[in-house]
Amino acid sequence: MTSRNRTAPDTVSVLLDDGAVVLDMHTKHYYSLNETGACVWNALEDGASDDDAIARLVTRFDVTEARASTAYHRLLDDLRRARLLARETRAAG
Amino acid sequence: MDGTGAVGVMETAPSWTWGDVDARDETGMTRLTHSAARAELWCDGGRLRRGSGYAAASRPARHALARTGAILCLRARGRFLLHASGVVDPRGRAWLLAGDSGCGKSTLAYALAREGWRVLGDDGVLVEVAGSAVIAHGWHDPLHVSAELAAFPELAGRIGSAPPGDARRRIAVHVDVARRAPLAAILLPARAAGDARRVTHTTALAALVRHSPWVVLGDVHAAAHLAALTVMARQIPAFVLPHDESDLGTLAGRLGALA
Repeated sequence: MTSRNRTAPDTVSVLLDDGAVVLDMHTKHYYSLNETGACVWNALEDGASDDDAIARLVTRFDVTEARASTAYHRLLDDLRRARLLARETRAAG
Repeated sequence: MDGTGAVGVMETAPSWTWGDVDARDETGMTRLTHSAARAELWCDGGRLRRGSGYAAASRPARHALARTGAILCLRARGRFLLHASGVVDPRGRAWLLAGDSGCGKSTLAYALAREGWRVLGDDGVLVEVAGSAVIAHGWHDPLHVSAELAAFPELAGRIGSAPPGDARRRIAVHVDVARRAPLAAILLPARAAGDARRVTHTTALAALVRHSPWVVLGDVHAAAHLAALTVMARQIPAFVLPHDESDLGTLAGRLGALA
């Protein structure tokens, strides 16, 4: 079994050229993401794995993988605290 | 790149309330509840229907429910209320002043009205996406301005007519009104010093969501509502507008330099 991070089901997002706005239709709260956050959010909506999402950050912002990984996991923590993430479990293979 | 601050909680309270009125989507209809009066009004397919407690509620409570109901009926027809003041400049372009209570919306609107601008609304303006334009429609609540401001000496003699409980000593003032105009800019007033600065599309959209809270109702009109706010954020320039009483007289000129 493998698990991936996903955006929470009750969220609605708008991706813009300089960030994103996320609405949680369940809690009625809203959030804004900067360009980094929007890139990660977009990857999560696309079903990207952690490695894929980090690779997108490396490509988009021309940074090292280590730096992208640190930013990615810090952002996941923020999203998790805001209850904007869900975990999806799939059978391996 | 830095993930710090990438996500920020912008709103921590339920944001779909309007004064004492709470709105909840229930199986395709929206139930409006006045919390103090325990009275209900239902919005069903753009029509309003009285619910429990409505007939016995006080007139102000019924008015508050009907006002919110009207907002939702207009929303079903593609016109979305923003908690903002609106003014129309001498060139016929609309400017929105969106912000929390006390940020100076009405003061700025009145300062511009004294310079010959017309007013679309004091505490609310309807916006509609029409083709490639965004149209601002009037929502004509009376303009309420503090009679204590030295910048408006003509109001000083009426300070006694301010409601006793209003710390800001606001009185209703007569101004020329406009019905509608194409939107030129969104202003986010801030009581501070400094120059106006353009904000990002993301900041603009977050501000619009904050000041059009019905977007989170989750009913069948939510997607159209969010799409309209997104069009505004993308197409209409938005600025933080620092201001204090000393620069009210130069406001029209400052705005002319923005858009």
